Amino acid sequence: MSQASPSSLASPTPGFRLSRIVRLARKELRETLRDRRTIITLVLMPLLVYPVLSVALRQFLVSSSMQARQLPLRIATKSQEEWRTLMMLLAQGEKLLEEHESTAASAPLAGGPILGAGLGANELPLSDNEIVPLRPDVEITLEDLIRHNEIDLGVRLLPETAAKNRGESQFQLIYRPDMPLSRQAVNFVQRRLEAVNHYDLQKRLADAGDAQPPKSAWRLMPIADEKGHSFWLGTLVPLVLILMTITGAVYPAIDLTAGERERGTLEALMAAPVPRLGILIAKYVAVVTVAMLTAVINLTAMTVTVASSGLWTFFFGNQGSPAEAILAVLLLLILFSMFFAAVLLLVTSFARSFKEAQAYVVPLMVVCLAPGFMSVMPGLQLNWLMSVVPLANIVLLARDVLEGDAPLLWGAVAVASTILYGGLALALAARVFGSDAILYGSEGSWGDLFRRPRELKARPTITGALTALAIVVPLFVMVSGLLGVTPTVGISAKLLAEAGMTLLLFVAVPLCLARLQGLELSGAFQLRRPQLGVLACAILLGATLWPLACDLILLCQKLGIATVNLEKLAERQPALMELIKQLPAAPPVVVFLALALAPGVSEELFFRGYFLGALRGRLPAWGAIVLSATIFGLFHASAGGLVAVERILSSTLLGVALGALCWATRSVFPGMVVHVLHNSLMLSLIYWGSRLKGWAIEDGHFLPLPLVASTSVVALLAGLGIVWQSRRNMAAAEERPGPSEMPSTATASADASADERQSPSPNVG
Amino acid sequence: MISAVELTKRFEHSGHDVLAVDHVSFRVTRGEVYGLLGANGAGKTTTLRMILGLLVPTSGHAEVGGFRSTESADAVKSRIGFVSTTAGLYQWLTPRELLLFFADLYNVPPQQAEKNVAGLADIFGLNEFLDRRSATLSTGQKQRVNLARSLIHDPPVILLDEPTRGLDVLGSKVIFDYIASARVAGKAVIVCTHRLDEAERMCDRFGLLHLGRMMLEGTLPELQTRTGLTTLSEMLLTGMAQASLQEPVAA
Repeated sequence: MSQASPSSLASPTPGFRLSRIVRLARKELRETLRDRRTIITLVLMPLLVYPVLSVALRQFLVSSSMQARQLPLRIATKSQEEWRTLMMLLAQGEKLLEEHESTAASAPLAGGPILGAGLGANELPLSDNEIVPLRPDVEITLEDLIRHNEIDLGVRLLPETAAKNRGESQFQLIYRPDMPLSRQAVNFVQRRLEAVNHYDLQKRLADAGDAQPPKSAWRLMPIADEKGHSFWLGTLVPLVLILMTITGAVYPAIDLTAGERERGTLEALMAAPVPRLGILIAKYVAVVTVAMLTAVINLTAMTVTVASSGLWTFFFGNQGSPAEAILAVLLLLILFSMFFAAVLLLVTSFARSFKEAQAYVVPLMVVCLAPGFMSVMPGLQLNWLMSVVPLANIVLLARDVLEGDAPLLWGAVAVASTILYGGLALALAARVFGSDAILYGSEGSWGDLFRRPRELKARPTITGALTALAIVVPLFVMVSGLLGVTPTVGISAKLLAEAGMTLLLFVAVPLCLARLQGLELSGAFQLRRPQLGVLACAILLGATLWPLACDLILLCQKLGIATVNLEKLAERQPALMELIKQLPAAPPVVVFLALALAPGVSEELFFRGYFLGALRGRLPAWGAIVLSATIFGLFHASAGGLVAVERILSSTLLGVALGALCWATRSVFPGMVVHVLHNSLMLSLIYWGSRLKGWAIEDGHFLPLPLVASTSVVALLAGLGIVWQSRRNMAAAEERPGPSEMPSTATASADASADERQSPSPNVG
Repeated sequence: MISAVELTKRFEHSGHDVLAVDHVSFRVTRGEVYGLLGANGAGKTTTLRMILGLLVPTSGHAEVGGFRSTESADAVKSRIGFVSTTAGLYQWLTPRELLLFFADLYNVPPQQAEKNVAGLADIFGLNEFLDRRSATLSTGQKQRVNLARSLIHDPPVILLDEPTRGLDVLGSKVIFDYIASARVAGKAVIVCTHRLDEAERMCDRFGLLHLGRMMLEGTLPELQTRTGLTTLSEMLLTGMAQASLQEPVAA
């Protein structure tokens, strides 16, 4: 063994390399997968649970069929003539069945023993069932009646003349395979028609040489429900799979955190020169992998069990290939695994022993069951509220995806909020995992997450930024939705409430978090006083961006990228349309306060001041600006409950400009000026655009090219002017005397120049 | 190589402050074996954890190779091999897998790691169970694997907290021999133990801790001259008795 070379020891270990994390994760996985307890939850549980569940389900269906048999069956034909033919054959069949009860038995339908012949023995007699023809004036089809569960069985006499000429009646039996009464109605009709055929055949066999066709023939036509899928597929399947995925993730999460501490290996791990976050991410990758493996094994076991136990039509209805549905569920399960693994790691990181971790996880699982079960309630929709409720949003989205009508906006909100919650949980776990409090049980408690550090810090952490985002965005979606459904109040009151909410969420929440993190407010929100020259340029920039923005939105509409227009909005969101119509009636001061000043100030404080500030020095300038601008753009995606792609694009571009401005000046104030001015001028177009011929966006005409070109050039020059002045100021700050003479700003300047060196401004070069 | 300057650690338990380490200072140079001695609860382990950067001192600081443990934690950790009394092993990994995993954590190149594993297996007699699952090892075998784990990156500084705990006479001898060779190799070693007879044989200098305070520090002849006592046990017992007499007076 050789002595380690001084050079290798002089530089700290690289720590956060991807390959390192992969190797760490591989070790965690190796250890986890060798543990036979993992194998039990991963493989044996699904192999045992699903067959048992399928038996229980079949038993339930049989008992529901037994209960259903006492109910009169609702059978309908389209015409009087069809009804007469059917009734004649059914009456004949019933009589034959009564005479030869023991010989009349039908083969079960797809669906297995649920439709067994034994059921026929307890059917109500023909006269007690409701077998009726539809009224001639009724336009609805038999298929629709079946879909809406208005009748149990539709019988149609097929118009094949060749068959009719031979004296054969060809029926089509339209039914729902997932409805017990519907299946029983098929059985009821089928048994009687078979009895007639049987009798007819026997009679003709007696008359040797007769080659006439049987008395009647029928084809089954299974119908899915309104949405094309079985009710059970959408509700039961996601819930069961999510619960099983939870089960798979729990053990490794506990074992790799609390278990590691209990075994005494955590201290050795923490003594190694690897960042705590790196170790945690490796553990996260391992837990997510096991959870995903569990999901895949469960999905496979469930599919195989369903296929082999005759429950296929019960779950999948009459749809052709369920591959797409299975893939969609798998993708959602992966997303869910990523979210839940992070939550589990957060919870178990607090625990100092396996037992303590279990004590935390059990209530968590119970808490998870509530939204899970709530989401299978009929009538519960994925909307502004449910899309941000963790777990329930994924179950509801899975249901809607399986049923083929997932709402795009709320689906995207559900996915985004789940990712956000997962990121937040992981960031919080990184604060707790392996801390001396957890390692040695000194001062550790849940309160550590909320304890203010002793020393003031200049910038928010990534955890702080993610926490703010995870609180503000879902809350904004919820409160906006709530305001949308509030009973009619005056337009001014609504606008003022909106302004108040914007300020409360975007300013108050990060302010509280900044206080909790012990942040110096001027640093946390980048409240540096800007130079007058910079402000002048900002005013110029804010006043000249609007023609470009107008034409960009119009261009999107012309290119067909736009997804929202006034007609669509009027159709889908009449209340919002009404609000837009009322807007000119509101006092201009209120409108500008609510839609220009409040969002301009608060969004700049949040997206640029707090969020972008947290990324400074941790990401390169372009990465930080693009990330914050993308989140800013996505945040503006919603337009009255619809996804407005054109808004994402224009808002993201505005976000890039505002982000670059903040990055260069280290101040949110120039951005505020630009944002407020830009919003104000865009609003002015709504107010007074009609007076300027051809300038209003609704007119569908591009603005005059000289206007757009000249304002764009001025905007560009103003932007460059801001960057130039900021760089000059920065250089001057670096040349100024040292900290002893400038106690309050020197640290910030040094910090600033260090960041500049690390991540050059995107406007340079 | 190692210096502790006025190291102090205060814990909070149920709203009460507990002073675990109280302004402890000492230095350890290359090729020196330093015995940090004291009864249970004297503050030995807490001191080691502060040197390593696992615990943040309430005041004071520790340096290893010129790096402060609070400021350059990774640089400090990469220079230290740490054996803790409570250290366990990954039950489902073999000692070889475990050693290679820790070599990777300490950024040892794979080929060098293989060589280091082979060398440590020879020194600590791990060869017969190097590829057996760790859960099946005896207490002594586990302790030897733990020692090898802490030395896999061939650190210039070694912190040993009760290194002979659970080892028989032969196992203890292996540790003593290794410490002797580490001294020759120029490593700085701190050994925490309450087995004072062992310490007398192993260490060059001693720091006697009681209730978080450094009672005595120096080489054995220096301590003998200062106290007029012969053995470390006598010195520690006398010191503890004097401290308990002074407590009520101070109160």
